[in-house]
Amino acid sequence: MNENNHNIDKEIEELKSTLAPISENIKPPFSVTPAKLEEKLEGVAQNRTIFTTPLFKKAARGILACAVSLTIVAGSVMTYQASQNKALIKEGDKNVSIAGDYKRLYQSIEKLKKTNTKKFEDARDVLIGSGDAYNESFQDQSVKPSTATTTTTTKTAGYGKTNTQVADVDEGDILKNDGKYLYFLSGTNNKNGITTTEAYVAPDLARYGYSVSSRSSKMLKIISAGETGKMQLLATVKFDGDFQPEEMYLSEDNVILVGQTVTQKKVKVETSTAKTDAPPSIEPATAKDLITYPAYTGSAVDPNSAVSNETGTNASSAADDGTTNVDKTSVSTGAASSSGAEPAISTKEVPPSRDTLTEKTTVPEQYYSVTETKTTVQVYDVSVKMNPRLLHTYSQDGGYLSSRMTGTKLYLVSNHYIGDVLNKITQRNIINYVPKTCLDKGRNTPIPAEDIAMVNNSTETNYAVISGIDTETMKTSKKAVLGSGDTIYATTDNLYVACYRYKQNPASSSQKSVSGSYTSVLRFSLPQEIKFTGSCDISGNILNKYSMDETDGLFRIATTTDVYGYTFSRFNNVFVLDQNLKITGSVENLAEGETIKSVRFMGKTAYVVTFRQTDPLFAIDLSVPSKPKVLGELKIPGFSEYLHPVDETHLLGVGVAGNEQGQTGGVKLSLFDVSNPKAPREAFQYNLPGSSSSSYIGTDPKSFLYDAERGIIGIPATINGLSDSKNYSTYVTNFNVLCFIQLNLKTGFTPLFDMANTAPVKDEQSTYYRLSNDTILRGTYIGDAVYSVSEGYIISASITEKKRLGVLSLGDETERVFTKGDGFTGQPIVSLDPKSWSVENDQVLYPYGYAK
Amino acid sequence: MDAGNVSALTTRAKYGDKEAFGELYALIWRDLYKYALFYLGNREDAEDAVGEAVIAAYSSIYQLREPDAFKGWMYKLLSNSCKKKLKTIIQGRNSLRFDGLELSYDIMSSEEMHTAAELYESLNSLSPVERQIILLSVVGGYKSDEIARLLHKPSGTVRSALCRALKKLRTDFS
Repeated sequence: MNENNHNIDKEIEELKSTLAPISENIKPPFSVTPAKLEEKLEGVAQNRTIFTTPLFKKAARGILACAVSLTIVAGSVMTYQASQNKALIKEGDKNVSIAGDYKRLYQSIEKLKKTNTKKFEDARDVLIGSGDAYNESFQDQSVKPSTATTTTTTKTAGYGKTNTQVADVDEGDILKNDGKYLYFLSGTNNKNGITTTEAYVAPDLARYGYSVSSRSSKMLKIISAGETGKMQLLATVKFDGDFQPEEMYLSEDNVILVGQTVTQKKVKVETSTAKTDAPPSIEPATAKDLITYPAYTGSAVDPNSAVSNETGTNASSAADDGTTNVDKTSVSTGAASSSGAEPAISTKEVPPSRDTLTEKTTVPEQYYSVTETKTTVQVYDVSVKMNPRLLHTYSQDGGYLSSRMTGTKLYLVSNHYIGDVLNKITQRNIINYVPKTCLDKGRNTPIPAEDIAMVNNSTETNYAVISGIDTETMKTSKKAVLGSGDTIYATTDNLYVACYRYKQNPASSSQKSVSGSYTSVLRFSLPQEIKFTGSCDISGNILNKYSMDETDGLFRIATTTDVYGYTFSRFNNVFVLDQNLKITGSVENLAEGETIKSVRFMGKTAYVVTFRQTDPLFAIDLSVPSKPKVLGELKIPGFSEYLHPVDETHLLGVGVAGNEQGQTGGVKLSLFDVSNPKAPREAFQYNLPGSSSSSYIGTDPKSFLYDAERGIIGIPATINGLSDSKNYSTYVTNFNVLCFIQLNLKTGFTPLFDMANTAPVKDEQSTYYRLSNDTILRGTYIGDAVYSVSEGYIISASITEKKRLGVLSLGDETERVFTKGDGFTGQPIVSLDPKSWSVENDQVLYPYGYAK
Repeated sequence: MDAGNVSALTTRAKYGDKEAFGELYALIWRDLYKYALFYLGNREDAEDAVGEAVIAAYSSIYQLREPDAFKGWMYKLLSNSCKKKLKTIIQGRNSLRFDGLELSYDIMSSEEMHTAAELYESLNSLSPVERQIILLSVVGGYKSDEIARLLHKPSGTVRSALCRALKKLRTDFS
């Protein structure tokens, strides 16, 4: 999932320089020049609306609520059992240390404050009325059952599964297949280049000046499918609130969705009367200073209170507004004990007397908007396919990084960014900024300090949050690390979180400073309870999850090191580490000047593809942990972006073709024979047709489909330079297809057919017909039927008969117009009858033939 | 952009100083127009989008919390206005117009013109989100995790979209 940042930056630079001559020649029209600005702004008034809340009652309720919950939460924290941390790392470990208590954690935060002076333009701190408001009360869990009956097959045919890295460790995906049903998370990508949007106005917020907002809609579609290729849409699940699922898992009768929830919250502006100055003596934050958080779903804070008070009504300040959660900072200013119930409340706070309250509430409170990102899991019961039911919701702070699933246990990793609030964190309020988790309608609970570790010398203003969730019992285990992660790798026993880092050695008087990249790896043990078991720093940075592997308890990692000094140098390495994450052996300084393009660890051998102008495929023997060595090398033009083990002596490479000069071309498949690792050879190769082609398999290896039994490969690709054999215009030059190719180890590659998710669409303004041409997201199969999945359609075909079996339209509109460029004046180009789309020359399942 | 200067100008603009707002605009106006132009493909629509964004900015700058965040916030508003524009274009005219970027033909070589033509075609083949992300990084100069925060998307998604988009553009240019 993670691409080398360096490569992206380089490409952006290249694109910028390509753009530069054009960009420089753009002459903005006079109407947008600053000179004309004032004219434009004539008569435009500034919106100075600020939020005000009803006066006394609201404040009183807020204080009552928090007083009550303080008691309860304080109690529960004190009975919290500190988990037995059987970490292998000791306190003196130079890489990471356990926080243990919040005071130690705060010391690390203080260090971060000093090193993080760079101000990031935080455009997340969105103003009121910018158009990004979300309606928090928007609930739409509509499920649309189909009226048709489902078709079922009783035979258990072979069916396609997600292309995962490690057997038995599942990875989330937008398409799942259980042999009878397809589960597709649509809305993840755009339909035909048009973002599907739902626009709605939040009625409550409209009066404050919020404007119409829109967001892309994601839906889970459950489709019955089988070997016959017949499909029926059984259910469509939409998601409530701001939950945006990214991928999903299947487990037993459940569909588990994982994604992000981004909400806007109103946060009170700290007024001058607020108590923000701490007295000189600083006491360590303890449980007594805990602030409670309202439940994630915005439900009322615990109303059960024996403490009598002024109003005695429901302790929820969310009542009037209906859209806002209790704001957090106001709690801290008003925090007080109720009538003597908990004397342990911090003595620095003066319990507000009635007079103080009245005083305060004469100042209108002001709010600004803050964005909160959480990683969310929703578990749906789909035992009745037409009626999915939401069972549980779990969330943890931070943006979603990745997840894995073994059996019924889900492991979830997120990054909680604290850079924008860094300067607000103090010794006393640190617990407010520690990552929190929440299960169903429970409270947002901060992760205790015993479960937080700190990576020494890290400048990351981020917590990586790791949760292990049993999706049957919803029991969870959580850990957090101050220091983030960007790639994960998991086996059934261990989870590794890697983070790209960069070290700069200060310049001495005689030489320029040397800086270079390295990777921090944290290891957690699974599966029952998540435990922190070690960490290491490795020279260089990884390409993606395939750069890491654990076999026989040993961790192996392949990296590219960039060193900046007097000169720039780059080289590649493979390291082998022991159970204590200490390096036992390595191959370093490999392929100088080149960068790793793909890696696959297969048992005792590592295959590494590097590239600058040619593609050396290296076979590295790891059978002796202390002495890894390069066995053999194969130099061919182009490079592989993805390596797939076919069997013990064969490796399939999918990548980019090239020539001797290092120029790269279209998509190429290579079958590598590694029976003699000292001399790996390319046994067969195959280039996709067209003048050029591309696939995104390098960044999305889950799009790769392979049926080992029949040797069938499926790759989504974009083919360029097609011409229409039916002598019509050649305006459509890029064509998105799913290519099916047969692989025989003895005879090589044979193209079978391509599938394109096309359908004729009528242009409303004329009699012209055009073809929609969705990007194919996934391919899968059930028995003889293959399915190609895109946002608009799922289309099935028979492998043996090479013809379409069925078309399922997923769109809400039955007619959409796809336009390409300007001035398309073609004649009607296709018949509307799908039956006329036949196979020609073993190529066609869509109406265009193409020149080979 | 000099942070201190921006901060001072923003504060003034918040209180109605149109001249200060004008100076803020003058710091990035060309890039804003280019962003809209690459996004929507033709001059008229780009003009409209920039105009709308500017008016929205001036009217709501009072609530801009962090004065230094002006640039990112301005791009955000421009992005919204381009998206809205795109929607009305599609609904109204059922097509996007990429009719040239009003280049100074006498200055550009024919090769550059050819590149320009290919560029519009490629940008058109990207989805709006991909286009937005590419333009934010190439025109706006933002890194992928900064874009992720601007758009409230996971950084992995932004990087993937960036890669895909770069790929598509790269093949068109190779």
